Order: sequence, then structure tokens, then C-alpha cells
Amino acid sequence: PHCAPHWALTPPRHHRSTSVNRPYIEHIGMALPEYGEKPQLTSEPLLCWNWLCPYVHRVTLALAHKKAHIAELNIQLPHKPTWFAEFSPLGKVPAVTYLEDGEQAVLYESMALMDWVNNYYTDGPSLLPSSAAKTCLVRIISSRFDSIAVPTWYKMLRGVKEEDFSPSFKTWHAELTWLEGQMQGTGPYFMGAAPTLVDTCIAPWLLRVFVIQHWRGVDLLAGHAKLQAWVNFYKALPEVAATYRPPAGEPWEGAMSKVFAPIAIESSNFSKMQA
Amino acid sequence: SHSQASHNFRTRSSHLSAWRIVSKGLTLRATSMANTDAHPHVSEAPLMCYNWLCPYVHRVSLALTLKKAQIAEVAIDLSNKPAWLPQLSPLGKVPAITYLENGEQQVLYESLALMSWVDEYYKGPALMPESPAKRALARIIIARFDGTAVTKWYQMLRSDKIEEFSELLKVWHTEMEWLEKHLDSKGPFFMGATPGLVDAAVGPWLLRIDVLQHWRAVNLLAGHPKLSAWLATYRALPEVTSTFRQPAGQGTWNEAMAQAYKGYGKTQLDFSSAAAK
Repeated sequence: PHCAPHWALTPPRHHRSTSVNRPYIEHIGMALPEYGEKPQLTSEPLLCWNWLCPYVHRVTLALAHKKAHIAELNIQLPHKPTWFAEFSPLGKVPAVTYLEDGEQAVLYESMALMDWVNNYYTDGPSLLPSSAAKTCLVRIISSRFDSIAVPTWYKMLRGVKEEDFSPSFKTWHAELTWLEGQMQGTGPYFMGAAPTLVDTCIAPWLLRVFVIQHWRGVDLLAGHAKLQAWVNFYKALPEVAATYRPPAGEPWEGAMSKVFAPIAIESSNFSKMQA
Repeated sequence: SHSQASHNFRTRSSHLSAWRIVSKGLTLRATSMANTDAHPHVSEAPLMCYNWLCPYVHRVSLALTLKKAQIAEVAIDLSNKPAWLPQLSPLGKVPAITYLENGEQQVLYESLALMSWVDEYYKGPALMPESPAKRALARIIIARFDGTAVTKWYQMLRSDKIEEFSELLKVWHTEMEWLEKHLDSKGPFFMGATPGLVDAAVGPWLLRIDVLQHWRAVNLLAGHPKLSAWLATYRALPEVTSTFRQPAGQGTWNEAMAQAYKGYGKTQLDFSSAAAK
């Protein structure tokens, strides 16, 4: 699934990061975005980004933990620039491109990009544990969450009727129970004392549970106290809060719930299913 | 041919009196223990749940041999799994690797995660490129192959309707075109001059294309000359052939493998006309 269209909202006018020489692409008012000329590629990485996409959020969270900055290109998916495929062959965000030894690197897939952030920004802390076994566990947990929990989250979002919603709700809870069982030690991060790529992999959907609350009337973290505690800790981190960049003047939660309207279609109230 | 006996084994031999150690290799035959509750002893030395035919296990074996590493193994008969298997492999699957780290049992699975583990745990040739961009590209290639091509391989093997098979084959060929485009321009391996995790990740299903030739009479690499060239180079590596460990008396690895997939292929069908379209 790619990001929900957000034509109802004015996109951000300001970017927090990046080098001053990078041409900014901004959408002014409600008109169609004018991207101008294709940015020139340099050896500086360029991230194709937008404020709402959970897959992009994985990458911005990894960058935040690394205290790294990256030049950004704000891409409105319903109105892509004509040259977008040169930066992102599948036409999606996130995507990262830059010149390495004169050759254009074209990188996508949020899972690969989180690893890229970890490999590229060597000044910051490693986002993988020091032991090979624990790093393997990070990959096991991340790939399971990506293969099962994430598609299930979207199925719940699309599940207007109870018969569509209910089986996904069950799967979601089973996955979260398994996930909680994998949490290491006393935290506060998933794998222990330091953030890792598990935190960044799972956070976007766990930080967006309010979307499902809004559209389906259920609390996805109910019955999962350890994960709720992790979410409360994680979202209070200043570097995580800094990744919340809704359109100017819009609240993060309200704006996010609105952008998922085309997928949710209509609200349902499944609160009776809550344990 | 089996790998040479490893030094790893000496530290564990005192705990293994209940096990038969077969040949010069490290493979323990689990069948004598199938009815007991006792699982193989877990120590600081990694132990892999292994099976000669499974392509997912093969990924790990390929990574190990390229890393010039050896690992203790316990052979698992997937049609007759020992009761203790979940203690070494929570999902009851192969491959799985377990060992003690700081007194705590690590239980590791998922072939892609295990390949990375091999690269990180053992000292040996690097199996991933050095640059972050090339490493990301390697992961993109692996993820795409794992996501689509692998599924199509099994679906084609199971398909007994030529129209359905044709559709699957079309998707397979699209994937192979994409894969070929992403071969390093100089090669001969996926990411350049030396073999690595990308080769190991895609290798098992491409090394097994004769299974589809046998059961469905199609050559999965027809029309993909660069991939065919890659395959010829790869399967000729002594490290790769050392991972071909079919049981004695079952003929060549290809023959044994084709027979191993009888349960999927069921009967030989000539779908060569699907390929000709």
C-alpha cells in the first residue's frame, strides 16, 4: 500500500533540515504542485519524502536517532513530477538518490533504506545491537512485523463491515502479543537501552493507532501494556516528536486521520469488540 | 562431498554420546532421537537445524561456505519432525540456528536474517558490498526476489493447468528480466567480482530450475542469457558444489532434487508450449 492521497490539505511550507543549496519544492496553497526543474544530482543524498507516509516515517525516525540531516524533496504522490521515476523507479516514497563514484544510486524500500541510514551515517550511534544474534533478532522481528502486522493494519483501516474487520483485528492482537514477547530486557527501547531498527520499523503504525481509533472505534494497543508503555516513551522523545511535520497549522493527529479517509471510506464503531 | 570436520566439534563431543556422528561431516542424524523429548545439547557453538533439500536452508549453507565457515548441524526430516524441534526452532521450520550467548539461548530463524547472521558472526570474506548504496541495492534485489519470484517458482511447480501456468510463467519472466538488469555489469557475480549474499539468496531456486524442467518441461532461464551465464559460473564454484548433499544412492543432486519435489509436481506435464508463447 502506498500513502493515502492528501489533496484535502495544504502541504508543509517549511522543511526542518537540509543544505541551503538544495532547491526546495513547495506546494503553495491548493494549486497543483509545481516542482520546477528536476533537481541536480550530487554526491549528497536526496530523500523523496512526504509528511504523512508511515514508510517515509521509518526513514526519518532512523535519521533522527542518528542525529543526521538529509536533503529532502517533498513529493505529493497524487501529483508526481514527470521526472520522478528517475529518482524512484516504482514511483513511491521513500526513495533516496545520489551520485556515488559518478554513478547514480537509486534506492527504495523502507526496510532497505533504514539499513542504508545505519550504514551511511557513521558519525551517529549504530542502530543495530552489538551481537550478531541480537541483530538477527532485530531482522526477524522487523520482517515479521512488515509482512503481517502492517498489511493487517491497512486491512483494519479498510474494514468498514464487521466481517471484514474482525478477522484482521484478531490477527493484529496475535501479532502484538508475539511482538511483546520479543521485547528485550527492561527497555526503554524495544531491544534495550538504545534505539534500534526495530523501534523505527514498528513505530509508524503504532504511533498511528489513533487513525484506527478514529475510523473504527477501537484502541489497537488495548491489552498490550508493554507496547503501550513503549509507545508512550517513544513518542515523547524530542527527536521522535520532531519527525511529526503536519501541514502548517494542522494538528498531527487530526490531519493524519483525515488523510486516510479515502482508504477508510466511512467510520464504523467496533468498540464492542474491545476486550 | 561433505565439508571437512571442523574444530567446532571437539568442544561438544563429550555431550554427544547419544548421537551418531556420521561421516567426516558435521551432520548429526536425528532419527535415532525422534521419539525422545531430549533435544541436542545447546552450547556456545552455533547449531543449525538442517535439511539437504530445502532451498531456504541452502541459502544459509551457501553463505557459510562462501564465508569459509562451518557449523554443527542436526538433520531434520521434515516429514517426521522430532518433538523437540520447537525448542530449537519456534516455528518448527528449517533453517534455524541456536546457541548460548552470555548463558542465554539465542533462537534464530528466517533464512534472510540467518544469511546476514553468517556474514556478521564469522570472520571471513565479506558477503555484502562495502558501500552503503551497494548494500542497499543488494537488499532491494534480495527482497524483490524473495517477494515474488520464489512464490512463482512454487506456484508453477504445483500448477497442473497450462493456462494458469502460462500466467505464472509470464510473471516469472518479468521478474527474471528485472533481475538480469540488476546484475553487476562486470560480474560475474550479482554484486561484482566476488560472490555474496545476493547470489546465495537467489541461488537455491535458480540452481533448482531442473526441477521445473523435469516436472513441467520448461527452462526457467530461457531468454535470460546473462542469468544463465551467472548460473553456470556459480554452480561451478567448488564452494557451491560442496553444498550439494543429496543422500547416497539417489543419483546426482539434480536427479535427487527432482524426485524430492514429486509431492509438489505430482506427475510430469509437458507445458513447453506455455514457454513458447
